[in-house]
Amino acid sequence: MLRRKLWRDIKQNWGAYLACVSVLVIGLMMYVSLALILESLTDTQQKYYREHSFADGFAQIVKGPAGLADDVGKIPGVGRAVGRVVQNVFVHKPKGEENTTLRLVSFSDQQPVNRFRLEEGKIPTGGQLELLVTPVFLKANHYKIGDRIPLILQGREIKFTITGTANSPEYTYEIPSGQTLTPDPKVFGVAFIHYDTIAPLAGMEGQINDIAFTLDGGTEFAEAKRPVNRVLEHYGLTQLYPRKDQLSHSLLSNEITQLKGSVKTTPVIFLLVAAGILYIMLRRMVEQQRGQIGILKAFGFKDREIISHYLSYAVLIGGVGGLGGGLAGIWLSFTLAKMYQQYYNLPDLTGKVSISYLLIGTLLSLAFSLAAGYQGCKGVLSLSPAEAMRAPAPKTGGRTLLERVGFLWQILSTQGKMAVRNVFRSKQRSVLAILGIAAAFSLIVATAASYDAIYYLIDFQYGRVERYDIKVGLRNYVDETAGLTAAKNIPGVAKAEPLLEIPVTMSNKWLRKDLAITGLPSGASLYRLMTDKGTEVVIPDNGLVVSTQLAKILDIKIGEKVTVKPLVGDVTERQVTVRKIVPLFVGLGAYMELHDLSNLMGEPAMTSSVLVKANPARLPEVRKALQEGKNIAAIHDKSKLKAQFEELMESSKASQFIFLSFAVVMGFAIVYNLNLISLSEREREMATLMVLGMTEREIARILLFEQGLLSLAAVIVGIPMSYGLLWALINANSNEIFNMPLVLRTGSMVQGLACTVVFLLAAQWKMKGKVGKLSMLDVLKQQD
Amino acid sequence: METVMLTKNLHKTFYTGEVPVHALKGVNLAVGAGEFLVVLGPSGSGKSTLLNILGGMDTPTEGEFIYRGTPLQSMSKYELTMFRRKAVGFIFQFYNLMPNLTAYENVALATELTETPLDPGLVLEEIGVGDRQNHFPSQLSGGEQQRVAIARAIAKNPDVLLCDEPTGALDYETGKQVLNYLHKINREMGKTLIVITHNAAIGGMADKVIYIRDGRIDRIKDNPHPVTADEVSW
Repeated sequence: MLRRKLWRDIKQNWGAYLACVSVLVIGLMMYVSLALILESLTDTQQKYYREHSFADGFAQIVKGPAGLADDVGKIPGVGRAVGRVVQNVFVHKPKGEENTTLRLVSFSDQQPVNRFRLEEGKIPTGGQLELLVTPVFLKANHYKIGDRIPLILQGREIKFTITGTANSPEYTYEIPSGQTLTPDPKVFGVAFIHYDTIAPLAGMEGQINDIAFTLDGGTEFAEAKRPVNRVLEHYGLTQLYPRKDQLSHSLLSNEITQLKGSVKTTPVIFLLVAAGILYIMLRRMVEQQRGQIGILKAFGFKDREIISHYLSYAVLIGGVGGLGGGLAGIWLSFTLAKMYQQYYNLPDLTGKVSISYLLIGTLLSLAFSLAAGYQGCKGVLSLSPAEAMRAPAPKTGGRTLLERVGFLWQILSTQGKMAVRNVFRSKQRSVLAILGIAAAFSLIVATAASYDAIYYLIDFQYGRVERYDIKVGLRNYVDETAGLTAAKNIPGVAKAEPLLEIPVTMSNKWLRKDLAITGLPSGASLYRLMTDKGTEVVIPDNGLVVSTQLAKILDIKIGEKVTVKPLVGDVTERQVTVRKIVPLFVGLGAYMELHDLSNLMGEPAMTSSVLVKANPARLPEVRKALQEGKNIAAIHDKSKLKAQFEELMESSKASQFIFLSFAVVMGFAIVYNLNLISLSEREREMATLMVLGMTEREIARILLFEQGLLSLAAVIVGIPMSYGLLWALINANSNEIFNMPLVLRTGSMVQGLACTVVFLLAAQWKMKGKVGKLSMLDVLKQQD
Repeated sequence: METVMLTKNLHKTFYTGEVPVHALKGVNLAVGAGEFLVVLGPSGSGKSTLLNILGGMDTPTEGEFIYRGTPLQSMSKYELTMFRRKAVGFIFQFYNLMPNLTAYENVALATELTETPLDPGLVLEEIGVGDRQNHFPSQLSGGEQQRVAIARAIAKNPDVLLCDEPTGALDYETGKQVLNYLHKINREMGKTLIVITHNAAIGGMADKVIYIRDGRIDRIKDNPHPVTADEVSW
């Protein structure tokens, strides 16, 4: 029979229950979908690595005999090793079209490490002009299997037949370098080509320039590093790094780490809010139904039975919310998987149908609901039957703090005074409302502002620090003057400056870090080193400028000497004095004057890149000329990087919008529920006001004024909360490389405010209808 | 005497559940300006329903209700609200004061709704609770609360005062006091006063007593010599 009472109670107030359930559903949907996609990403990554023998270590050399791979393989602790030719080439395109770079990665018939996965078509034969491209590249550039693709190799155009598509664990995130933010298969792609085909065409017969190796179980990369280094150092070793620093791997792993954080935080906010709403709802119901509880108790129902009746509301809400959220989460995990596949080449990644997560979600939801429910209805226990049947102690009115501020109080109408006192009358509920609205508000603001820092960083880096148009990466280090002259001779180039980047191992005492030192010419104007506050840093002679973060990692103080061992060339380690420690956005920065850095390498002046500023009208012309230049490894077009970045930001707008809608629904649920409770507590007052001749609109205005007061307080509380949340969000995104600034743009704040107003008004609008349905007659007949 | 309120063949049927309840079955009533009317009847006789229709809180199912020449039976919700706002003042058995407004503020709240209100302070003074103005309802006795409720009703300066069992929740002495004030308002301010009650003794104070039974007017008794509250007892 009590069950019937449950159904009818819920039917009467379905709006409130629905709101509560929807917040639960959102919370669990996020939890389940994020947890599932996390599990799926991790599993897919590991399976992919295992099945295709993804390497544990990577090395790049200028050139060396193919047998080097076997030498590396023989080192104790090293498992298998493969030698490859890896080379970036341009796809030949008609004049004016944008550059497309294809990275050719060689394979052999018996590839022990870093095997690709054939998705479609057939594997190219050695010696034939055939290759495999990634499915993403094929699609984006409108190629079909069997098409011929013209590449520029050693200055010659050669056409290759695409025999199929393939993916590799090495390129799950298909970008050319860490400077690119997102894959753009129209601009960069990876192709797999037989060693026997590429070696002669690239002038590398019997030679390799890239080695990947696995490690035996139990061997750390650090142990193998020194012997590998010894084997390769005479062949122009440019890079030697472990899997954790491999580009695709580190980005994917970073994503996984971030997901782990989100799984633990975001859903909890929603669950806590739902629990809060449920608590208030049940508490209110128990208060309202004291009389009924008294009768039940008088009949001889045990406390336990009555409590379990009220808890059954919580169980029902928790169960429905949990199950609904779990199912929605499973559904969402498939959508998320599709979203990830837009960026990551993980063909096996899918959503998951997981009974265990459905169960975990439901249990979680039940736990939160039961805890909140019990808190809400434990008041039943302390009631004796006779006491319960009596009305609760009358509500007392009283003066509030605000009344001490005489003039403020005086300007309020009586209706306004009523609203103010109402806010103060139920302090607990007002505090909950303020916190609830503030939570929704700050969630909205933080969501809206989640990319503000990135926008700021990009504007800062590309607008103020890097002022060139094109950065031309050279294949080898060249003499500074030669490089500059070549660049300056291109018609349309207004200015060219050298930039030297040398990979080194920097150590201080027992601390060490692999990083690149950037050499800038004194008086450089196309790359100006700036602190995070935007002050320009003058690079001193004969010394290093390092970032605060790096100084912390290596425990360096100004004036101390650090040991620098270049990883390129045949150079011994040197001692360099740290002259300045400055806070930078880009974390692992170390800078020197270009000539000083060259000296370190035993050369007078060299450069690894040329920064070019073009006459704006002639930029396409310059671009074209550079593309045809020899000895060019990469062309970084700043405007394109920026545009690409902005496109990425645009594409994340969708998920931002979804998140915003969740927060708005949550805000609505909180406010609507609190309003409902407030109304049910004050039905009598509202009915009296109607009898006095107040219109629905006037009554709603009193409620709106109350709501406005609470919201104002909530926004005041919410602003620091937004900063806090944003700070947590940014910290989760900060790493060694980026030191994210805490930026909250006015636009995001306004957006947050607008969304808050939207849910407040929506809740208010629903309330107005409820006021209209109040029956003056029924309400006023009852005794208070 | 000018007729303030007039009902013609007033019917009201409630549909609660499946069985229709005929609360009013053709009531014809004329209320003159300044009259003191007592409506007497047992529980369920329909007297409250009649009062609710006269007060613009409810609409009849059939028949006419005319207030000073204007038919109200087909008015919109908004127009009825405006009628309640300007023309009538209500007094209930259970006071229904706003718990978080002081006595003065409760009255002031009502005066904010009309264009020709009385001064809240003066009205409270007049009705004997002037020294309780700054108290909240929870700090007042039942009699005091009911007096504040009366003050609230008359401060709007309405044409008609409608009272639903105004002494029902009060003890004998306090009840008489309240009746005295109502009587005073009727005599001195000329307000039309309609009181519904099942306390027959109050009928002695009225100009006219309407007996209601089973949704119909049973009889109307004119009372040419009404007495004061002090002279009635129950």
